[in-house]
Amino acid sequence: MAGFSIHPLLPSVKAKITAIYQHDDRLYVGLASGSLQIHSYTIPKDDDKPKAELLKTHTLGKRPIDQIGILGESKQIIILSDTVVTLYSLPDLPKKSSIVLNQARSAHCFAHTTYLPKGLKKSSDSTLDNGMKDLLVVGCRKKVVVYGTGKGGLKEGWELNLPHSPRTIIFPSPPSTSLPETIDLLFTPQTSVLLHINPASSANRLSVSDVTTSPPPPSSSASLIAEEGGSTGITMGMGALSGLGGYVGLGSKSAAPLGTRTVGGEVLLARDDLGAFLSSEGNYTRTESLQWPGPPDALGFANPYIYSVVPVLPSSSASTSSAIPIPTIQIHLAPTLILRQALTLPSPSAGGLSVSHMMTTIKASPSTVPAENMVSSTKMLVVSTPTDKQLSQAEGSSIWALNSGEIGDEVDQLVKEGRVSDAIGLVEAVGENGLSPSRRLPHLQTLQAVTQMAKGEYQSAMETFLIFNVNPALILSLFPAETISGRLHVPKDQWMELFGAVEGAKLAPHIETDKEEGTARGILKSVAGLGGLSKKGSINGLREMGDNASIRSGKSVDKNGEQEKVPIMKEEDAIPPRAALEALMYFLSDRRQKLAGAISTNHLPPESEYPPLSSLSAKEQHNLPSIPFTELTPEQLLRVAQVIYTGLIKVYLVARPILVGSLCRIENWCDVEEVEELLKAQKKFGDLIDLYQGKKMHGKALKMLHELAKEEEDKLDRYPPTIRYLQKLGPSQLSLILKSSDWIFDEDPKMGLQIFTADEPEVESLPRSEVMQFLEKTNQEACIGYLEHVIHTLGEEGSDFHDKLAELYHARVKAEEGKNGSIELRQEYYAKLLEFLEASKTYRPYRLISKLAADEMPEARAFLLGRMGKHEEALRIYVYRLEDYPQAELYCVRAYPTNDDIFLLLLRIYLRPSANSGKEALLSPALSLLSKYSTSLPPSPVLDLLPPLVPMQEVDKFFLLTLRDTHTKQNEARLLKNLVKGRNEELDRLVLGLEGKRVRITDQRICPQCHKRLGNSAIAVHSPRGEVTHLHCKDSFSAKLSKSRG
Amino acid sequence: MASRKKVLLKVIILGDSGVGKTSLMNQYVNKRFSNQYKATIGADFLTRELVVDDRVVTMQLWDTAGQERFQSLGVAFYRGADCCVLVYDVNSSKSFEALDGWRDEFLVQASPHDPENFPFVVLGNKIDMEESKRMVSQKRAMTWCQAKGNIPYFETSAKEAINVEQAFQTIAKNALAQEAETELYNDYPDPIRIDSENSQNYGCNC
Repeated sequence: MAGFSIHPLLPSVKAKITAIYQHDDRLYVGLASGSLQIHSYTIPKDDDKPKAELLKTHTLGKRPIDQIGILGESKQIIILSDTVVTLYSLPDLPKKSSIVLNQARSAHCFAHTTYLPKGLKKSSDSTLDNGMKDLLVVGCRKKVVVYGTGKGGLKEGWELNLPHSPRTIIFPSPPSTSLPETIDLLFTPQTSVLLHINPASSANRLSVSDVTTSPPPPSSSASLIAEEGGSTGITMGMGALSGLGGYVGLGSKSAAPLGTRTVGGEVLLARDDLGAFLSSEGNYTRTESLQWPGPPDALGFANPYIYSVVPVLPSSSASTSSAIPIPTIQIHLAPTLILRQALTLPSPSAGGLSVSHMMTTIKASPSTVPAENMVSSTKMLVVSTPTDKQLSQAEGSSIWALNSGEIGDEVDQLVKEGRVSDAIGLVEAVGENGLSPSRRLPHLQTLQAVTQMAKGEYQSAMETFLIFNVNPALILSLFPAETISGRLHVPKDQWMELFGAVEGAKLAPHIETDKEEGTARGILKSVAGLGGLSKKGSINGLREMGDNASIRSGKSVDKNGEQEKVPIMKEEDAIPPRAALEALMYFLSDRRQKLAGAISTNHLPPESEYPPLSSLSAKEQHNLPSIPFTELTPEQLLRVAQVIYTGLIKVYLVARPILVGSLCRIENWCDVEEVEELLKAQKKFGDLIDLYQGKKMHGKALKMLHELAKEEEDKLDRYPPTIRYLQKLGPSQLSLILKSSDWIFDEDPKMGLQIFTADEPEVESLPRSEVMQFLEKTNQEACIGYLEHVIHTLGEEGSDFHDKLAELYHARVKAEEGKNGSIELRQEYYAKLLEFLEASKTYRPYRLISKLAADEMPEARAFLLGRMGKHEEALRIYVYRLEDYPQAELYCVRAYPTNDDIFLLLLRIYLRPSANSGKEALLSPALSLLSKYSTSLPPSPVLDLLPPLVPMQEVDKFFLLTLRDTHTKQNEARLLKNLVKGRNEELDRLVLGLEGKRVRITDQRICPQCHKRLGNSAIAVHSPRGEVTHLHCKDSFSAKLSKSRG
Repeated sequence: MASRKKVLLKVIILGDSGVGKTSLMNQYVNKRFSNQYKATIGADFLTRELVVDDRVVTMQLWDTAGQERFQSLGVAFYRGADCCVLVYDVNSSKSFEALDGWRDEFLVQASPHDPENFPFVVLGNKIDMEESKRMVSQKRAMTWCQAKGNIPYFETSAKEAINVEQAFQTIAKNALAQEAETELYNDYPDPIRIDSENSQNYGCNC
């Protein structure tokens, strides 16, 4: 219900009012008796209802005053009475100085306005002489007279003969603009022409043109639908016939055609029960016309409403045949033609009521403060006269003030009723400057987009949401909870409130189909009953209207059957229609890009600094501001990012499952908790792992990988995903890597080893000792593999690693011994140990040797002892334990370069077994040693060692070689001695030669260093060219020399 | 296809900054090359007409700024694309490794109806540099392309105009096939249509 109200302004003036005119603070009332009453017209400060007080009464004639007007510029009052138009000077009204417009005799009506002549600019201050001119147009019998256009002003009248007599004249343009070039002249309710004024053309300064003769466009259902819950609907009872008959008789007075100016040069003309909108060119401006239940009695316009008085039968008295129609003021919203309210004037005690006049109030100076234009104010004055003769004489007519509600309240009301487009029309008509933000166009257009969502016009709704930067969380809330919105979901009946509409706002106007049909049928019947009273066309119009009204409104109504093609989101469907999803993707994709732009200038805080999105209540998400992303705070921006990405992934899951993977892999702000269950439900495990990885939620990813692996049989499917994942983690995640690789080592250590041996920078940078320690505990075989990799492939030199590898090799050999298994394997392992002990340079032998039991692995022990420098012990092992003389000799060969007497040591071991060992001296290996390495053995200790009785044969080779060796050495020494001697002599000769050189110092000789004379100073001679310098210049000069030589 | 109406192919070129996207386009459209590097700001497009399978088509090449990932180009930029060209520099491993990300990014932003069969073409640019500088082998690139659904691969040099013409001919051919595919989609009375119609109406959102 819109907030219009009606108040008595002048109840019961005890006379019949035939004309009223309000101008500024005066109300002029013309009576049937020919008197003119002047009332004050004031609006008290504390009240929005005007007050009127009788000031004066002038008797101007004996005939009823038919029309009153005020020429504001020339301060004259126009009175039309007895077909004569008379101008009275307003200040001198008592003096009755009057001008009768003789040129305009037989006048039926007039209209007046003010205009700004061409070439004059409207001055900003409204001083008296502002160049404005009055214009008066009088409609006479078969002609029209125009005053105020020529040079003579009001004294000069231009005439044009017409085929009919104008009964009503309307200026399409508002006052105080330029000269109206077009004026509507109404002859009958069906016929009108356009009068054109062209002062520039002397021959043709007045001309007429016809308006379109095609029938007016049909009405939409909107103008007839009463506001919800309105008791004063346009219901016509079954007994309408008699009542209407009575009405027609009563209403015969209003034969004059009706019309009003609206905005933008448009006029509304009442064509019987249809209100047609026409342009200044005489064409229909709209595709719809306004529908009244019957021809209106009065018509007025005050932006943005059309006010009309139509007789309506009271529904309650439908059964009584004496029902009398009540004049009802219908108020339609001009931009959309929706009927906003119907007001009934109070019924008189007897008989009916006729409304003869309605006029739009005129303010002297319209307020410039926008807010003031929005408040409740009086828009219309209405004159009513009882139809009962006695009552009419006793009480006379009444004047009512019609007040509009506050525009803001009206906007809210329209929104509440689900008529957002009407609200938009209203705000567009009055301008949004004085309104609060929630009543302005951006907000209303957003709300309209919400209603479009409900109607299935997803794409255009999304475009609107994008324009107004609507919080994405709100958009997502409109989608089904199960697939898209989750906790954000809001049921359809709360959508409007979610977007900030007034409480209880509906998505579409509520229409009770049954009631509507009933009403429509009632109208049809009653109209049909009227027979020839109405034109056929209007009956058709009504039927059409009735048909339409029974279908729920919405665009789909226009094309029957189209409804099927626009799937509408239903609460119970988990999956929204395709078009809705596409539109949502469109919206989110755009938001995503805008987000990227905002992030590039306004960096996001890390997600980890805030609690996850899933911890935010739906309300908190809904409350994110709907402003451009660049204006959000970093935290808000992060939240919006999370909302967008989480929403996007959910839409993809429904509409583009393949893209889920792409989204998970790129940088994103998806809230994992929100989507992980959805991803799992759709078996998008791989994508979920990617998402975890991107979010550094490696623990979850690895757990998931493990779960997935359990279902794989083939080991090539089972392990590599986890292995690859672990290989990418790097040192910072070491403990996780170790923890998560456990199960692979349990099942397949060889595969597991790849985690630590892959040729990846992340893997190579893992701390080796930690890995080694872990592997040692987990799986020794893998640990060996790892150590072999780092030592052999990566060249690790660290003693710890070498020690550990040796130790592990050793342990492995030992472990193999315990088993009854194959000897070969043990041999292989042992060989490997020995090979390592020999090849590696950095292990610490004493560590391993302490682990060796006294008599196990003698070769290894010997190796270790050798490394420790305990050659004797080592050799003893070879000789006594192993009795492997070639190995012992080999050992010596290896050790010889650093140990001169190693062979002697071996020989001693051979020949002088320790007393407690109880071994015999080993003569034959000793002798073979002697013969093979005789030159590496000092002869005399050998002789000491040799047992007293040795066949010469056995040792002759040794002696021979030793002697020969001794001789060779002797000869070499002799040769060398002589060579050295020869060289010494050569040098002596050279020195002698050099010492024989002389230099001559004369007085003239100058030191090449300091360029002073040498004189008797101490000198130095420089070789080889014999330069002479001062002694103290020697060092610097020789430095210079050596430098010049390079 | 029966209508033989004029075909406009929208091709998006993506890749890391400095791989030569603008140069390739300039070489193809204007037959020009400049050694100077000037970072592209935002996005720009060039068009060239060519004949593919006896049809004259206009190819609209959208060059993007690789430098900062995705300024606010708005939703319309990637929408309605008929082919996406991924460019990397064969002398930079990093630019090659970024291809995955560019591909994913494109798919997410363009949300094509059939992401699995959307045509991509990969260009390995700057092969005119000396062999010793090369970081990505042809084999490595081709393996990647194969794994992503047999993406056509070309090694190009915008500087020496090597393979540029051939590469863009393939791009146009694949884009045309995609265009035909979308038309097929459009033949269905599917609400999807709303979308593609709109994308045509949209010029630029920036």
